[in-house]
Amino acid sequence: MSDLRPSEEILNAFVDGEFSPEDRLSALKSIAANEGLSREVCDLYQLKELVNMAYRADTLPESGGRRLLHGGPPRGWVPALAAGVGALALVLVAVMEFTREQGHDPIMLAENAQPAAPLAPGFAAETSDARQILFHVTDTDVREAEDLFDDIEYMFETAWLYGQELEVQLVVHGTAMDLVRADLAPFPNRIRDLVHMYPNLRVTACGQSRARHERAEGRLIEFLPWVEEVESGVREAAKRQAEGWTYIRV
Amino acid sequence: MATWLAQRRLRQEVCDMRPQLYRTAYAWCHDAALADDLVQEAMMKALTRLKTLQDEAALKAWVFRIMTNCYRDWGRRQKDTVDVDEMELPCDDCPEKQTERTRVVQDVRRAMTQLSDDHRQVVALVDLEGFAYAEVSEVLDVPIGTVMSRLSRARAQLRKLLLEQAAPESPTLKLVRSRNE
Repeated sequence: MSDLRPSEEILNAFVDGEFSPEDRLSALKSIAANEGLSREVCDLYQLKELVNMAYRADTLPESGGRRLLHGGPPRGWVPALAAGVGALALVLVAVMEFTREQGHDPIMLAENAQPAAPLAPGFAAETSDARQILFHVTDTDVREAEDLFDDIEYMFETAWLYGQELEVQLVVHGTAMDLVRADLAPFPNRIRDLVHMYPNLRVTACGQSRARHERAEGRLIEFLPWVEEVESGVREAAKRQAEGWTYIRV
Repeated sequence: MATWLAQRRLRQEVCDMRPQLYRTAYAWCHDAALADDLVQEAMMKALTRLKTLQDEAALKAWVFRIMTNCYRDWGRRQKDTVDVDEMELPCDDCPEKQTERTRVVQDVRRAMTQLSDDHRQVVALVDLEGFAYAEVSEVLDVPIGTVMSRLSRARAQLRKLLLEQAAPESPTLKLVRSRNE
């Protein structure tokens, strides 16, 4: 190194900190002893700084990611594609996750996912936009419920990435009510965090199921504070379906 | 639960990378909308394939590699229609923008646009994101020697271009079409 002029690649590697401390020290000595090399190394450092300066965050055009979050119109090819397939993908991901992880028959699930109200001619495109999803939770399995909340979080993150609006409602019904009971809920904080993090997520529980359980147990039952009570879980599910929400039974 | 927590943390880390990804994508293509698209697509792919990540420590390089592939795919799709090397920078000649600092910024960006894609990518990854050569080799899927030679040539060309831009403008000849042609 001291006798031979190092190659351009080696000088660049030196400037980029690719040398071990020992080699760096040795290289420094060689560079310091040669004015031409010193100038060249200095130029390389300066070039690195210039490139860095040219792309500092405050000099870049505003990212559309922020713009999309504020509801601006999407540009370019990804939002264009995403607008068409994103919403469908969200539903498909959710459906596939559930069928895979819960072993449900995909065909039965698909049958369950039909909207109850017939579509008026000419309105198929609007109503198939499927960004409103209702999960009808009737199973009390804790593990599956955990997976459900993971998937819901993932769906919201995905929607966020595409700058799309997404509404999700859980209707907890029958024995699944244990999941949202103040005295029995297996993960109350998880539900709280999700509800607080995603304003478009509503966790609702069936009032009739609560009354039935209260009669059976002979005591009052409270839901978690982040859970809204609806008069009837079945009626709520039917109402949402009629409004065009995608229905998924869990 | 532990797996879920790890996945959640990694997802957050991917989301936190958005500004870095955008900066690099912009340095590659110099088009804000395209840079956004590349970042969105890369993040989307990273989030959906997160469970396939073998080494959590290599998350950043992995995500940048995904974005590199997105950029390559875009290049293949656009090959016959848009040449990224010929893209013009917005507001290049706006007088109100010609402060010393913005002039330097514009000069460097203009020089960057004149590099080849391969050279521009390696400069952005090393100088903007501080990737080690071994990581760049992973991200771009090329041998480390190629990274070194590309970087060396890219910087030499950058320096030459910047010097040319800094030099006083030489008179240019205009081609005047002969009436007899």
